[in-house]
Amino acid sequence: MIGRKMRGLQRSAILGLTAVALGVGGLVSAAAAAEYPSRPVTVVIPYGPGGATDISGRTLSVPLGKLIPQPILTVNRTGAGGATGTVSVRNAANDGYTMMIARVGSHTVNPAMKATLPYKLDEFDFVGVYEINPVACAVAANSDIKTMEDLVAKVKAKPKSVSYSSSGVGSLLHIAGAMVMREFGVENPVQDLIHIPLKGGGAAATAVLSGTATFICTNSSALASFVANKQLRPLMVTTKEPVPGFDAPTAADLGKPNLHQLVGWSGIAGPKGLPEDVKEKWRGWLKDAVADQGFLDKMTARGSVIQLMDPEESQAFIQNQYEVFRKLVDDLGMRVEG
Amino acid sequence: MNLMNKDIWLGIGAIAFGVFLLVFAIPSFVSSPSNVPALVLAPTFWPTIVAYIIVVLGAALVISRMSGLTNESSGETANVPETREEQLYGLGRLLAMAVLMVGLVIATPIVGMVLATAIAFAFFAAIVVTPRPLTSIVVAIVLPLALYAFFSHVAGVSVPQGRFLTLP
Amino acid sequence: MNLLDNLAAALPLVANLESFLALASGITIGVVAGAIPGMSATMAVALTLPFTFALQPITGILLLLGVYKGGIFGGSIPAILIKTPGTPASSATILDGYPMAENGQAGKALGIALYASCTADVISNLSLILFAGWLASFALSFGPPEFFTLILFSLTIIAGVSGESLIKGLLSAVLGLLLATVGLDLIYGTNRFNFNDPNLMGGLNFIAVLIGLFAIPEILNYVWHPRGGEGTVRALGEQHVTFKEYRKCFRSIIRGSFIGVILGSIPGIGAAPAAFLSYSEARRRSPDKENFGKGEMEGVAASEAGNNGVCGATLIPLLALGVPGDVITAIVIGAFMVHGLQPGPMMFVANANIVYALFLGLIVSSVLLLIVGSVAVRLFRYIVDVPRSVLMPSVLILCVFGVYAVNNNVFDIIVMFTMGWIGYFMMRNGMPAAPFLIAFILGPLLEDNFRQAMLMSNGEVHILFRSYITWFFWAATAITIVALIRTGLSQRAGNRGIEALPKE
Repeated sequence: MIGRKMRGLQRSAILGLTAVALGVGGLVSAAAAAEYPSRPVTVVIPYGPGGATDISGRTLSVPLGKLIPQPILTVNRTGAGGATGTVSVRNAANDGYTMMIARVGSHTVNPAMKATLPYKLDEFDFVGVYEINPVACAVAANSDIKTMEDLVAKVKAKPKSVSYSSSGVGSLLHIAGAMVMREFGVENPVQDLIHIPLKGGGAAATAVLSGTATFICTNSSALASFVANKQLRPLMVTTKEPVPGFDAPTAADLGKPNLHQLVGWSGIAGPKGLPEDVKEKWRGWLKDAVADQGFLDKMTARGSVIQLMDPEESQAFIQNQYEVFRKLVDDLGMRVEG
Repeated sequence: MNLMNKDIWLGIGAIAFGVFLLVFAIPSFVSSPSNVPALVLAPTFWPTIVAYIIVVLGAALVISRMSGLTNESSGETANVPETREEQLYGLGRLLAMAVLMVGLVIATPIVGMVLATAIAFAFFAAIVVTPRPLTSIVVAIVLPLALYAFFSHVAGVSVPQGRFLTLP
Repeated sequence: MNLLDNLAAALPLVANLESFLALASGITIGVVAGAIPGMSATMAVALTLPFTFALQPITGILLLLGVYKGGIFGGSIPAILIKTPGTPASSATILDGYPMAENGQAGKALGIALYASCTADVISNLSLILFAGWLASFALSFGPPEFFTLILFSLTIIAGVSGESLIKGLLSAVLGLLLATVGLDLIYGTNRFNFNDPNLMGGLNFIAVLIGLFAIPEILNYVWHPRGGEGTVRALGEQHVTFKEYRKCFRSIIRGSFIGVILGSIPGIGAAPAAFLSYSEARRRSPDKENFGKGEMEGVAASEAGNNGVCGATLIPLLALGVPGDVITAIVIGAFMVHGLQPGPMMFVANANIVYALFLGLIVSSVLLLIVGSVAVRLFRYIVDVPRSVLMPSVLILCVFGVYAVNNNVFDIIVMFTMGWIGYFMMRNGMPAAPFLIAFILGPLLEDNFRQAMLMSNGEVHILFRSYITWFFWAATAITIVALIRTGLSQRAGNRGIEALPKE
């Protein structure tokens, strides 16, 4: 008895809800014909809250929010070194309403290293790279290693005596350690060095502080406070220009121009086949967003270099870095097959 | 079935599961690179140990219950309906719950999370033949909307909207 | 008197309305966010971060720390009332908090949770102020081998939360270990039980597993027998904690606070293990061991002291070394850097006034937590009066929204439901859920640190005995296991005698 009454009520409730649903739906679809964007834009951050990508993306979304007429939803979709979130964007409609913060790890190192990665680099369209992070290599301040030559000499004198830390397999840190050592003449860095993967960039830097690993090569912003506090000693930076706060030679000073390729970056990407008007809109928005003084101040305070590339430049830059990494991975046998 | 016998079956199930892991699941689903320098470093090392422990614990459970070495562990913490008829109804309700869960997951991307959860609430209330149908209807409508408002506008979560309905 | 001078110099930075408002609103945001399952303290802090950019450094950082502390306490509210931990850290609180609510003591459970949290908070803050330097250097001596032995020792907690049958508890734990291996291998990046599905590559979402394991079985149990809970007194939420009860729990609270401080100061462990360790120590030392897991107030007190003891202590590696102990402090470091401050040893020299202003703010925050918390407890207590026929479907929907929110992924809802059925199966077969959870948290830490240690030593086992710390934990583990076997044997002997008596 009660059950039947209940079901009757339930039916009318569902009918009521459906009526409301259709009404609201109708209103929205009336607006949908307008130009992009006519509804909120979701920007996926494939890494966890509080990480470098997250802070970069959220900082960018502040000036973007003022420029884009619709709200931006920045959502974190974490897991598998960025793969979970990246795949979700690849699978989304390429209408410009699902975009992502692409990062060096998710879009060049991972595709270059992992054979079974569930996405490919050419499944994405890039609308702009807006940030470059110089890479620096550092050792603990109490270490007897003072220069890159000392480090290389130590590796050559006794293989497997030197280790480097990373934030996981397929991270920029993983490939950076190997690439730097190879440029400095270590023939087989995969064999001669020990790679110690840790969970996250913070843990990787801590590992060098506590002596678990000998050195680390990562974004200068991740090391800045340790260098300023004289807990870590920088050995080199990979850029052409010196990095403020890092009293170390540049790759150009050391005569290793190939290492200029080794930089971190963040950009905006969408699924392959974004409409031209979407790309054009983003080109304009990013141009204005990176000129925002508040954004510039916050990003440079964290040690990143704001450098905007238009969609074509971004595509070429990323493709080039990908090929450099891919060749290195092939030469060293670093590919992850399983 | 008393818990003693149930435990024996549980133990046998654990042994079977452990063997399944060792013989089939670990070799098939855990890939290990060929150039691993030491056995202890292989990705399969840890799951293999875990699988062996499952077998050992399963065996220990069977032996201890069969030999009566330990006390019968105290009964189900769950409340148990008295009559057989009640138990059948209970199983039916559980089955309906399983259907509800599957339906909720399938419906969410199609009709949106708000509508899907509202219907799920009403369905749930119907399954347990709620003594408070009116309250349930009101909560079924208000709660998903309130949660949507909070998660979408305060917490910045992109709650699935569905193909037909786009809430502000 | 250097400390006092510094504190006096810092006073004007904190003693203003803005700082108090920032702390109070931070704690309020935190308590509300923590009370919503799926909205972890981490998410709340990350969401608050952009608002701090416009504020003064001190005000902004105090706001974030308020959210953090509020969030960790707020998580205990749904843990007690609806068996759904608001944050992972409050999962130990369920063990006795929910039974207390079932027995009609929700008010008492929430009350003792609040008092334990505030007490632990004070101790944690004082430890930060007095021992930061010393604890930080201790924390830095933790490498993978030390972690491995610490985690190994922590796994002995399982015995304490296994309930009636140790074998079933261990079985439950091993299932947790197994499920934790799903995902990409840390060392080689290869697939493990993920069938090349990108959703599984990141491993099973921790909060989805947690909610699936505790809240969903309770819902299914209700569906199995909707009228079963009727007649029991669940309401009566207005009981208060007496001073006598607080004093009874005081030793456990203090012990839990120090466990929290020590584990909190070591980067990378987090609040959940601290809460479980504190709980199991309280149980081990209690004369009413039997009552733990059935609604023992001391259990709630110990868990909450453990997880709140961590809060202040995670600032130790942050301020003294510039090292983030967990995700939350990583976000807080971001807030420092946006304002051009670089946490680390130099900060005590260059920006000493800011450091000490933070200390003062933290002391104030404990008092504010007590005030905001009492209001929250008063308001949330009425949830127990909601009839089950309305409460249970509401919890289901709340969990769906909450679990989705963690990672914006419908797949996590599937994980939650699947875990729910596994959890229900375990419940019906008398397998406790807590060991599963502990193993799920600690298993990956154990494996990762073991393999990292092996990498460091090129596969030599002796690295696991490289320092006094490792020896200490090896010894502690051995002693605990021996003690467990001894009590097990004596209990068995005792049971033989009882078994002859007719059962009631």
